[in-house]
Amino acid sequence: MNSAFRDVIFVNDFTLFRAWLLALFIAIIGSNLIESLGFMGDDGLRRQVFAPIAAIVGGYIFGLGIVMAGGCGSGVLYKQGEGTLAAFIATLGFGIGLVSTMHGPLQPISKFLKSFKVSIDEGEDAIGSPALWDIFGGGAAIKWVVIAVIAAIIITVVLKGRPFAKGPKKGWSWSVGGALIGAVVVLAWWASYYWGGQARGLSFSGPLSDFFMFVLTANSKAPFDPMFSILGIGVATWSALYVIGVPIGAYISAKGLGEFKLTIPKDPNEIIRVFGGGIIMGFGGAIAGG
Amino acid sequence: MEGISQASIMVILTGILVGVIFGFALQRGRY
Repeated sequence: MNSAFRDVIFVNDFTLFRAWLLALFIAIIGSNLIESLGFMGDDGLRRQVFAPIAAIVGGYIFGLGIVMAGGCGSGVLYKQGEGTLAAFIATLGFGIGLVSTMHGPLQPISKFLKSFKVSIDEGEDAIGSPALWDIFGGGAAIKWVVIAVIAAIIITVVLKGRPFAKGPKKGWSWSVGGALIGAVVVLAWWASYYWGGQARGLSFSGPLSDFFMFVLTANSKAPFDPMFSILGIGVATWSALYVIGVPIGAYISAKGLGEFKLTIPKDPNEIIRVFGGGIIMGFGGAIAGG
Repeated sequence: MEGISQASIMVILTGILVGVIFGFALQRGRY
């Protein structure tokens, strides 16, 4: 995501942005479809409480952090698999920022910003975790009309990028990559419900906090998600485990393409910058509820 | 392996596997 927006802003290249939109297109339709078909249980996709101030402030801070760190949550994880040690340093900073904000001394700031919640309707009918279609009255028909409108807008931009054109010599074309990433997001929604005991989706801030808490204390201490015994050593969430898998998958791919290479920043200032950026990312991501 | 349930193993394997697939797709799809 960092690369997609960076390319649009700095080099006016919409290729990765279109890939991101295509992934979003498939993720929105696919995840809502499996919810409507009943594959996600009674709780469905478990949408988050709408806390707009926390989302805006946290999202802005997270954005500052990812520019400094050189990647968003999934970005710094997959770049580790390519041998980029700066991404490893950024991930350590990310973990410190997350744990400090979700479980440590910075938690009161997060709790304060998240205390400003917006719900739709009042009393017994109040919807504390609203979806966009709840503004228009909710229900299955309205849900799919709203999704259709959003999907139509997205696909218009995607098609302008000629998604069926021949891809690069190495790797996948932006359209294949975007489509498969969208499909994995849908898979993760279902898998988090089926194997993780509760739908969570494919995010990285919360799961990375769960992972670091498990590594440091043998207990993810996840506030909302079920935890499982990990080989009798401690307890962790299902999501904490995919954090381990991302660098492994990226390593397999990079090795296959002959792109794996251990690299370390030559400039010591870059190490400080990516570490600091990681901490800022963690602080922002935890506040925004990523 | 005594005392470790089959469900626990599946939670670990599926969790890591979803991450592996996602990491692979991210690396291949960055072009």
